[in-house]
Amino acid sequence: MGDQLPLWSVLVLPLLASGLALVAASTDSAVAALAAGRRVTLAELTTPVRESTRLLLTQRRTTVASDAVLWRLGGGGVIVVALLASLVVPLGAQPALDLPVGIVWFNAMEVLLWVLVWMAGWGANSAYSLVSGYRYLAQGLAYELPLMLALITAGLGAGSLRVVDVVAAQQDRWFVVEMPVAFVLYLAGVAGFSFWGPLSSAVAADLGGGVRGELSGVDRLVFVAGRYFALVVGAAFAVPLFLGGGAGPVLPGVVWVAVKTLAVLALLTWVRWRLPVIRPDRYVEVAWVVLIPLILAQTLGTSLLVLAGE
Amino acid sequence: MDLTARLRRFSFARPHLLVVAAPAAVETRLAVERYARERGWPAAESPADADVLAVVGSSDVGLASTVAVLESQIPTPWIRVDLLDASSVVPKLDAAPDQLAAWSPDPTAAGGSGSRPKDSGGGEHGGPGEHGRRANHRELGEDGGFREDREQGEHGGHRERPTPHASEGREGAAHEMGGHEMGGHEMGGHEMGGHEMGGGHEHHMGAVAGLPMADRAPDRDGLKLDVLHVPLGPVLPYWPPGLRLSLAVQGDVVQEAVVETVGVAVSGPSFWDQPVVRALAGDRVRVGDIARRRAASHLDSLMRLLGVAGWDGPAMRCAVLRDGVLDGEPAGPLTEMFRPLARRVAGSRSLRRMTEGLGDLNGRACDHAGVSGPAAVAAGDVWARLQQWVRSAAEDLARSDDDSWVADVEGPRGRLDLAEPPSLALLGVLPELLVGAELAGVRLIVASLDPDLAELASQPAVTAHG
Amino acid sequence: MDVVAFWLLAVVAVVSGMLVFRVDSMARATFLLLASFLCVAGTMLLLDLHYLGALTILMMTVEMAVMVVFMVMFMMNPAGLMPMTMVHNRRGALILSVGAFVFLAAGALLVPWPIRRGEPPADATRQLGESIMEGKMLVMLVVGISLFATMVAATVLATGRGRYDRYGDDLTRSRPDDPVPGGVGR
Repeated sequence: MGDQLPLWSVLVLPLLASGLALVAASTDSAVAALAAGRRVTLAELTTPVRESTRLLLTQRRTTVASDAVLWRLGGGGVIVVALLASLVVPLGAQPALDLPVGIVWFNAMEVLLWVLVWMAGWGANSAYSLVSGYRYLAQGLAYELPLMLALITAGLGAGSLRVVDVVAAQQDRWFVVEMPVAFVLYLAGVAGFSFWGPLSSAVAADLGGGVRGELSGVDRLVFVAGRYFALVVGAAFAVPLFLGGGAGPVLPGVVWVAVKTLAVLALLTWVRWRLPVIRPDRYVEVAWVVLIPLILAQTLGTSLLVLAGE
Repeated sequence: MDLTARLRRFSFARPHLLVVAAPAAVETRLAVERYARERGWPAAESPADADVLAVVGSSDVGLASTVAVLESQIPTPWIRVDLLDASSVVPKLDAAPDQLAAWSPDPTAAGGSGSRPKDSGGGEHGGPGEHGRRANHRELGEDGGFREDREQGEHGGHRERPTPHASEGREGAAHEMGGHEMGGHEMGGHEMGGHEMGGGHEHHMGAVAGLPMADRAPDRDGLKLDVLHVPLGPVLPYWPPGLRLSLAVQGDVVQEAVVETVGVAVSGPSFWDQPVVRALAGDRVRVGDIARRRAASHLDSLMRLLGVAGWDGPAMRCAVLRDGVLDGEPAGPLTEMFRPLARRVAGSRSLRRMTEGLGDLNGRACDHAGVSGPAAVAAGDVWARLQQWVRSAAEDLARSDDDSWVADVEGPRGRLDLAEPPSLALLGVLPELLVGAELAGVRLIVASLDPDLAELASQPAVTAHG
Repeated sequence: MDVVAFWLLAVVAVVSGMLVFRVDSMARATFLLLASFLCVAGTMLLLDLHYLGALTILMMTVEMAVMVVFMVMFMMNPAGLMPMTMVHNRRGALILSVGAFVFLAAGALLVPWPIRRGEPPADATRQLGESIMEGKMLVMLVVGISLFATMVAATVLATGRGRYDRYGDDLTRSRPDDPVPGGVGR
C-alpha cells in the first residue's frame, strides 16, 4: 500500500469522528431550538453531551424472546462499520489506509449498514422496530444504486479507485463542478445509509422511534452515536471525491478537509430540516426510474470528458 | 457538590417527557407541551426513551392500566408526575430534574418514584433497577412497543408473535411492480414431508414464552400470510389522546381496524369546542373568540400531522403559533407569522407526494358517514385535508380580533349543532379508510382526521369495526 | 502474520458455514452465511486481490440482506423460536458433503500447483479489468444486459397483474390502478 499515515493514526480516527459528530449534533440541536422558538444558548449546544451522559446513566432494557445476539450486534455494529469506512478517508493528504480500491472499500462498509440496521430492527422482537428495519432495507434498494454509480463516476473521472488518485485528478477542476449530479446523488446516499433527514424512516417518530424505539441506556447511545459517525464519515468522504480533498490556499490540507466536511454537514443538516420524511414506497420508483438514468447520463458525460482529455 | 451529583444534575437537566393525557385534559396538556417546548425538554418517542412520565388529567380506569403498562417499560431512573390542572404544571415539572438527579434505587419504596419495574406476569423482572443492570420486561415491544391495557391477561389467540413471515419483501415488491404484495408462506408438502419436528410440535406452532405464534389468513392478493395484532396508541408521538386502534396487520398492511377509546370520562364540552358550545347554548360569544379557538385547534392538528410526516421544523412553528393564538396575541402579527409557514407547508411538493392518494374520503362518503367540517369541505385525501386546515387556519387567524356577534355553529372538527359530535363520525369513517393502508399511511390518515375524543364524553363507549 | 490471519479466517469461514445448518433461526443462519463469505473476502484481501475482496464484501452483504427478507418470508420458524430440525436425508447428505469436502481438499493439497513466475502486477485491479474487458468487452456488455432483461422479464411474467389490469382494457387510464402507488405515478 502506498502513501498512508502511520499506524497510530487509526486511533485518532475515532476522536476526530467523535468531534465532528458532536459538532453535527450540536448544530442540529441549535436548529431545533430555533424552530421551537428558543434562543440558542450554551445549554442548547451542549445537548449532545447531555444526552450522552443521560444515556450512560440510564438502565438498559431487554424484551421478551428478543434475538439478543443479532440485536446487540446490529446496535453496536453501526459505529464499528462507520469507523472502518473512515479508514480510507484522507486526513489532509493521506488516509489511514491507502487501499488501491478505497472507493469500493467505502462502498462495501456502508453496505454493511444494511444488515446491521435490519438486525437492530429484527432483534428487538417488536412490531414497530421490525417494520422500521424493513423500511431501511426498502430505502436501501432505492438509494444504493445511484450511490454506487456516483462513486464509480468519481473513480471514472480520476481513472482510478484509489482515493488519493481521485484527489490528485481534481487539480484543475473539482469534481463537484464536473459531475454535479453524482455529487447530489452521493449526498442522497449518505443521508440514506445514515438514515438522516428525509431518509430517516427507519427511526421515524410515527412508529415510536422505529429501530431506536426499544433501545435505552448504553445500547441506545452506541446506536445513535454510530448513526452520527456514519453521517460524518459520509460527509468527510465527499471531500476527497468531489471537493478536491485538502486543496486550498494558505491553510494546511487538514484544516481544509475539516472546513469542507463541516460545509457538507451543514448542507446535510439544512436538507434534514427542509424536507419531510420520505416514505420508502414513494421513493423507490423515483430512484429507479428517474435517478438511475440521470446518474447513467452523468457517467456517460464524464467518460466523454475523460476520453476528450486523453 | 461532588462530581457524580453534578453529572446527574447536568444529565437530567432536560428530561425526556412522556405524556399520557386524558382526552378531556386539553388545557393541561397544552401547558405541558408549552413548558417542554420553552425549556427544550424533548418529547420521549417511546417509553424506552422517557425520563418523566407525566400523567395529565384525572386517570380513570382505562388510563390507569395504560399507565401501569408504561411504567413497567420505562428504564430507570424515572419519575412520575401527576398533573391535574394547568396551574400545577410549572411547579411540579420544575421540581422534576432535581428529583431525577436525586433518584436512587430503593427496593423497599412502595411505587412512588417507580424504582422497580412492575412484575407483570410472564417474565422475571430484575430486582431494583440499578444502573447498568438489565431488567427483563414482559412483552416489551412485541405488540408495537406500547402495551395495550385491555387484554393483559389473555394468552389466547389474540396475541401473536410478530414472526416476520408477514413482512413480505416490501422492498422487493415495491422494486418490481409498484407495491404488489408478494411472497407468502407456502406450507407445501415438500417442507412438511421430511421434517422431524421437535417433540410435541403441531402444525400451528404452540406458544413461545407464554405467547402464541402468529396465525395465518388470506390477504388481499389471495396469499396466506401471517396475521399480527398490533395496537396503535393510546400513547404514541403525535397521536390523538385517548384513541386506541387495534389493527390486524399482514406485513405492515392493515387488514382490519377496530377503534377503541381509552380514558374518555364524562366532562364538559371539549376545550376546542367551548366557545361554539357556549354560543349554541345562547351566550353572546364574540366571533373573534370562536375563530381564535378554532385556529388554535387547526394549528394543533397541523402540528400533529406535520410531526407524523417527519417535518419537525414546521411542526414546531405550528406549536409556537398555537400557543401564541391561545395567549391572545393580536391577529395581525399572527397572520404575518403564519403566512410563510402556510406557503411552505401547502406548497411543498415532497409533502404532497408523501400524502396524496391516502385516506380518500370523497363527498359521498362524507355525507353517508355524517362527517362535517374541514374533512367534508376538503372531500379528498390526506393532502386535501392538510390544505384545508391551512386555509381554515389562515381565515380564522385573520378574524381573531373580530368583535362582532354573529353566531357560528362550526367547531374545528365539524358542526356542533347536530345530534352526534363530529369526532364520532370521524371515528366511524376511520376503519374503512385504514384497511389496505400500511402503518405509515395509517398514522397519516389518523393525523389528518385528528378526532377529538373529548367530544365523545357524553356518548357511551365507542367501538367501530372495519 | 498473514498465515495466522489466513488460518483464523479459514477456520471461522468453515465453522460459520457449518453453523448455518445448526441454528434454528433463519435470520441467524443468513448472517452466519454472510460471516462465512466475509471471511472468504478477507482471504482474498490477504492475497492482495483487493478489488475482488472488497467487491465480495459488497455483493455478499447486499445479497444476504435481500436473502434474509426472503428467508423470513418463506421459511417456517424464521426466528427459531420453536426447536425444529431443518435437515432432510441426513445420511445421504453427510456422505455427499464430506466426500465433496475431502475431494476438494485433496485437490487443493495434492495437485502440483505451478511456481509463480514473475511478479504480481502493480495494479491487480487494472489487470483484472483488462483481462475481462479487453477483447471481451462486447460480450460482457451483452451478457450483463441480457441477464438484467431476463430478470425483469421473469418478474413481469410472474406477476398476476399486467398492463390491462393496470391501465384498463384499452390502456387509456392516465394513472395505473395499483394497490400501492409508486412515487412517480406511472
